Amino acid sequence: MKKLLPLLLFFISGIVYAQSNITGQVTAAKDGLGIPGVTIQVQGTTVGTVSDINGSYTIMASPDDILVFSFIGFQTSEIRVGNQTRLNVSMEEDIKTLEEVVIVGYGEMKKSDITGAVASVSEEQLRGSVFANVDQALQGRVAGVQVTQNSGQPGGGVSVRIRGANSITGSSEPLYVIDGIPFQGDAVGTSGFSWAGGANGQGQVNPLSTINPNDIVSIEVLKDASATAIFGSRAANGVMLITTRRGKAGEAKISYNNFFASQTAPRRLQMMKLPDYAEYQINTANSVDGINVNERYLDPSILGDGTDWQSEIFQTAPMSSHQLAVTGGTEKSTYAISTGYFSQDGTVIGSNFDRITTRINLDTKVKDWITFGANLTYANTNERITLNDGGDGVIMQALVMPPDVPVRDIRGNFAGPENNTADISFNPVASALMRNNTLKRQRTMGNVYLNLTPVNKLSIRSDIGFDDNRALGNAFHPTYDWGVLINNENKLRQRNEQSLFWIWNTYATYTTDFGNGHNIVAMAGTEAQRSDWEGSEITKINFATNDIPVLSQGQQEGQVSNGWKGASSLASYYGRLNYGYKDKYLLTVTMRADGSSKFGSENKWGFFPSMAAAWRVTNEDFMPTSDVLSDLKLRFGYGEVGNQAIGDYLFGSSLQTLNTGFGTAYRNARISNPFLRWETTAQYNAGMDLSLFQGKINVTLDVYKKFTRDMLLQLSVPSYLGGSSWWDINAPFANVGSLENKGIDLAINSVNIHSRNFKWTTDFNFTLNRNMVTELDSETSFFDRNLYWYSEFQSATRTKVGSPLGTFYGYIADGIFQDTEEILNHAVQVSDPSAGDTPRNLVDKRDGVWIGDIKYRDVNGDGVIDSNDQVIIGDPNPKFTFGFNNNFTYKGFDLAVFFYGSVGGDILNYAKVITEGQTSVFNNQSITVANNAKLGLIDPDGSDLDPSNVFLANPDATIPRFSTNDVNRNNRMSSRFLEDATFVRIQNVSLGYTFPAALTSKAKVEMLKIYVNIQNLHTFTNYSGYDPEIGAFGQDALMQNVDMGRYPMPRTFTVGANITF
Amino acid sequence: MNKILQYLIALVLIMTTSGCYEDFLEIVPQDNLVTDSFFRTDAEIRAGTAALYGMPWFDYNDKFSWVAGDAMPGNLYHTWDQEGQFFFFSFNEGNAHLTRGWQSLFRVVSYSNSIINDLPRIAGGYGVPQEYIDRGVGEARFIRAFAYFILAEYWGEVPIVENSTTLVSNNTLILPKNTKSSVYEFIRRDLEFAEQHLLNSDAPGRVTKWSAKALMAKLYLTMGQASGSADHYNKAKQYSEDLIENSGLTLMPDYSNLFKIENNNNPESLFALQWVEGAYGSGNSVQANMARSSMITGNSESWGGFKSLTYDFTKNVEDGDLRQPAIYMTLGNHYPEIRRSAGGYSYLIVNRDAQNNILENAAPVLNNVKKYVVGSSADTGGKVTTNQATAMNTYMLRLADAYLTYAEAALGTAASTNDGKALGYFNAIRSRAGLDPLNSLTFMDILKERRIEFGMEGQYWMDIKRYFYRNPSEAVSYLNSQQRAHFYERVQGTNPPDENSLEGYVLMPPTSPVTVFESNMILPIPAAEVSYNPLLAPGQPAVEYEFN
Repeated sequence: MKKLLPLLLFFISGIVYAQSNITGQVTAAKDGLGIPGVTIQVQGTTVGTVSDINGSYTIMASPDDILVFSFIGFQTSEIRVGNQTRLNVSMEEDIKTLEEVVIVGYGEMKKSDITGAVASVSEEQLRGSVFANVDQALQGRVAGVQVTQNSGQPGGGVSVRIRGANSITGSSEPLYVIDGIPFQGDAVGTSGFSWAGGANGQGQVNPLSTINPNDIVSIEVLKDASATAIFGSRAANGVMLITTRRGKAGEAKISYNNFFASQTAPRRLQMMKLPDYAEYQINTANSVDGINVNERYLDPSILGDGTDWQSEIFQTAPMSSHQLAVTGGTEKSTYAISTGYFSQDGTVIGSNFDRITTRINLDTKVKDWITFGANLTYANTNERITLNDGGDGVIMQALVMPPDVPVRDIRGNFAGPENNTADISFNPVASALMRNNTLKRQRTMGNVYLNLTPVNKLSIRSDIGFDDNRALGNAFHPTYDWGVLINNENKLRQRNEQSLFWIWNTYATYTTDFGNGHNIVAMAGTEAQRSDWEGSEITKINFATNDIPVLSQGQQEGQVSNGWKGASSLASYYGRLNYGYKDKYLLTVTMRADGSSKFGSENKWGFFPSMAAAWRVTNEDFMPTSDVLSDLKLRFGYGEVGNQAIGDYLFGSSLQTLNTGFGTAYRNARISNPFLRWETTAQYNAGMDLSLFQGKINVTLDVYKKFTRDMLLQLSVPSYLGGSSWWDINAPFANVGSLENKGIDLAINSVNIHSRNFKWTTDFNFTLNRNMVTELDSETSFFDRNLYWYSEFQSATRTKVGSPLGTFYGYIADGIFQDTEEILNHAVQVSDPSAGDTPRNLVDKRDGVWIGDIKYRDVNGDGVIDSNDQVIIGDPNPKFTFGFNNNFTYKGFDLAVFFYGSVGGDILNYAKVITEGQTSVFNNQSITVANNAKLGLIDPDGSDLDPSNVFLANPDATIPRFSTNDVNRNNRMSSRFLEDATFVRIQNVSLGYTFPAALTSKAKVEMLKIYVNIQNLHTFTNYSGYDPEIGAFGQDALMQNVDMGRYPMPRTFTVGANITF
Repeated sequence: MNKILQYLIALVLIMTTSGCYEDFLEIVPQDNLVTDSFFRTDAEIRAGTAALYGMPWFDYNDKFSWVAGDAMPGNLYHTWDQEGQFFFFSFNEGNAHLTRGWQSLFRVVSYSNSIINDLPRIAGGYGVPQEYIDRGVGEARFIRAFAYFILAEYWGEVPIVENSTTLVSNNTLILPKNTKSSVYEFIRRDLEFAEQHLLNSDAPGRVTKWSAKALMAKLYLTMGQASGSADHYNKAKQYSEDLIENSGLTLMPDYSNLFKIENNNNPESLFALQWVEGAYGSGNSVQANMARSSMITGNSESWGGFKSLTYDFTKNVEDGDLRQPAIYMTLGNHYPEIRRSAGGYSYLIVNRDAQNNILENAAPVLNNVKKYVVGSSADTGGKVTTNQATAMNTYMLRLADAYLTYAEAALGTAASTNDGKALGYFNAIRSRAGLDPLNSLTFMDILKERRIEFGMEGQYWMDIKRYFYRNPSEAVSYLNSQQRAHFYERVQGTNPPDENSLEGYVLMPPTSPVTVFESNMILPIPAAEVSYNPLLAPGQPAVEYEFN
């Protein structure tokens, strides 16, 4: 019966409409090859089809019908059916092949008319790989855009930089605009763990993870100021315009896409196994006072491997996605409706993420001159975050947890260490599974627009949009009994946040052609937006059981709560004038004025102008038509954009509440500065768009220089005048200093081979950016970032005038002292107080410098190693990054191989401070520590304390000796912990097969594709940690490439299918 | 064309709504008061000064007070990492605890300054009576004086900051060091104001004029030890005698009761940091640093397993000194108030469970710290929480100090004294400790008594400093002669004596003793401060402060 049904329908329809089956082939006029994917539609109806891989098609039509053949890059042709049953059509290439339309702020433009630096990511590129989140789709795909994952955690944070970071302490994340509604890319906080003791790790998740990447059809990246200035205040870091799928007139299409993936952690670090660890303990105990040898370790050879903690915490994890979409409509109304489900487990146990989304996009022509439309999207995400990317995180703890501790004891309970020291470690498996940190988010975004075209040349559009966010974070710290670590007090912190953002903008666009080749598009508008947010946080303790971490179960006493509430607003006027002359000369002028609630009444408004011009050289009469040079456009632009991305009311001072023994107390939050005003970034851009051999090779090259001035910074002051921590009466915010970014963006796309069955295309892009602080409030000012207050990393990075952001700052390690003489001849690292007027090193095993300690370079040559010998020892910023993609299609097969590389730049491998730092014999260490500095005695019967009797037994050692209190500060911030960050990664390999339309159309399937995909296949690098892509800790521009046990990116194997009816 | 006109008019209307935008863009904080709308009443002034008693001191109390106040002068045996560098005198200007101590004390100064500078102007504007304003300023000036007193004794010459707001607003960030005599004079003026405007008695925990007098006595005693001036000694005597005789305050009869949460703000307390359980930063974190094990705290915050009172300290504790169990735990001590549900906590050198797993291991000097260790949440009625927070107040100044200050001032520059009043006060302290009275006093008698009385209260370094002012070379050789680094090792062999007996261990001298030099008597200014301000570098001259 099932087989009969279509047949039956066929007859019925045949009878009613007297239609017949029209078949034919669509070919390109130029080379006679079939064109796949051409839309063939019966004019005025919803009946349509698409040509198959050979250009062939079949459609039902009656003799009076007109068939419309359309395809991007070709001129649309309309053919009356008449009494033919076979219609072969030869399509002419559209000479304006560049006539793509590009979304720009508050409107759209022909790509050929663009004067600024704008890059697009097409749907084709977006569909070429498998992404959990939008940001991954951008990595390495767009010149000038640097995307780094801050964590491999499912739903983990990301940093996106368009042409470098513009702000020292503020956000450098771009503005995302989804179908006209702005969306801030700053990370979202979680309950974290610092409140429950210990460090926090990266307590931030990815805001973009609430967007379903399957709904997106294109992303436009506005890079230079002439393109972004129309967004004024929030555009300092560049703008990403995201467009979601809309319906098209025609028969409804149903598509279903899914994939299933398996993710693995790419590599393991080599840590000591039990025999190595036992030997390390014995060696250490023999050389240091007060450490007792464990009797069981006396013969390491009889010991097994012990627990491999890395294997215990890493797992092979599944990921899957399902997406169902329906699109369609009539000439007057169209719709696109989709729903998706995505689920991902982490490669570290205990972490996962899932997302449900729904989107409805509607457009309807109410009258000839009124279009009305609405978008509504809802997303629900749910993630479980382990404590990661930090010194106390699961990964770090798995590295240092001794191999002699089992995961579980004989009674099946989680085990733990037997010695209680200050840097004691948690059982990472127990920690991952029992310490719960979850975040549930709900986001509803939508907008309604009305578009009026009262007369031909004028259109007026008014948009009202909103973005409603709710988040519920829960962090639970259980009671436990893990070895000597006992906790009898469980506690829960619940954090509730909600915010509502709304925007209303109205603008008018007037398009006119004066004849004589002059044309103008003028646009002017106004906009108001406001955010309101509030939240609360409740902590309760002593839950009856770890199994029900719900607030009602905690005790009333000892409850701590907190709440916050705030708002900010922006009001704007903007306008743009595009002028073109004969498609040769193009000019764009924009102006925007923004008022912000974040500044005092005198300084609320900022004005941001821009200007750009372009010259299409190939359209000049004097240019001969050439087969080589198809198109050449030169562009130049200048513009200014603003930044107000700071906290609220920073120009004034509010009172901070403190919980004290006397009840609630108040203190000043900061020193106020009523003169605070806008930060401005000015940018020059010069670009060239070049098209060769009829579009077979396209090159876009841009060079730019950006200056950020009046930076919004918290003054850095000596601590006797205040500070910047929560504890301090904060130093004021002020407009100080300036910053410069300059660089080159290059993109080359080429069609290398295009024959009947085989096509090979290549995309290459190259991103180079140099940034430098050019001015601060004083010559000696600097901004430091430290890693853990108790560590030797008080100035892990320093940012000062003349240096890039977040450079690594410390001592230069010059190897290891071989003998006493070398120590005595070296600059003073630990002063011998008895030396008198000729300072020298104290050579002493416990209180001074000893053989096997690290030698630091006396940079200023004053004979003393002190803080004046700290210098910039590394730069986290890469020299350049690139993406290189090759696509091959052969008949129904397509293969894409994508490489992404980042060259230059350094990583501060802080994990090594812990895995090679030897701060305690009760922590496991890297296998490299087995070859730490070992001391030999010249006279074996002599004292091991006698400097003249000791030498370095392994002169090639690179890791210093064990020392209980590290008087020489071998673990201080030094070049010892820096590594090269260069890597080239096979980012993506995908192989797909699209079944021939001839075959699938029999089952009424329009398109069926299956594919396999491997992401993050292999990384070529010399970096010794898990993954050389580190990102910025907590999105902080001054904390880039600091590896504190970062959650590595998984390698992902995917199989998937896309089907469209 | 008319239609276009209509729409253009509409557009112009929309664009001329800027009048509305001015209000639209005015947003004041919705979840906090604004500075100038506070200090309207006496109660609000109280809520402002309440901030001075806890959080700004947290970093000082957390580590610096005991690494510098007890480990450095040889009371606390603790050798680990940067903390241990104080024990060995091997720290330098980059030491994290040194930096945090400095920052914390200047944070106290900045909190105080914001009250001293803002309160009179704002509260005056609201018509709050002058006496309330003066009392609030008096609290702040007392606390600022206290912070500067500690700064002066550790760092010597430090910059005086009276108003950070004006300095920062005028971009005057680089200040010179001020001479020590300027700093002392600055402290004296603050205390003089505090003494005049604070009350005779106030709500529990609030400082009073007696608190100011007590610190004044210590200030004069400190100056006296440096100058040898009879006038300084006499002032110290007058202030402490006035306090002892006229304040109505009394010593707690039982020393160990001083260190129980229920006795916070008892009549012996003159100034104590006011802690509250709950959040990190608002509670006393010393228990977490000192408690031997999770058995005592009931949570995982117990990092004191390898910390002991030094051998040198313990051998100075006389037999039968009732203070010992309150200062440190050693074999034979029993604490009914800890692990109440298990019938109390008895100290064992090595503590094993039924399966013979070690629960608590031998500490280096076979004792562990007790002072400020108060037990678990259950032991204290919820006054202990994680986040390193107990509600046990930290004594900064208590009446016993005035008793011993009087004795030391009465001794003056003499080698010994048998001044009746001095002996009376001195022996009052000894008698509370269950010890026999002395008939005459030398400086070393007083120093030793102070060492035990205030052991693990972060005081001893300041006592050593007065010794140093009095006799630099003797003080340094005193530190060098300490047996601070001695430790115990388990007796080896096939049949060693019981691990829970002293016989099971041998006392070992350190492989090399800790050596102290005169240059160690002043701490280096933290590296971060010197990089901001080169005037703070070693060797840069200190200038006299210009008082206005």
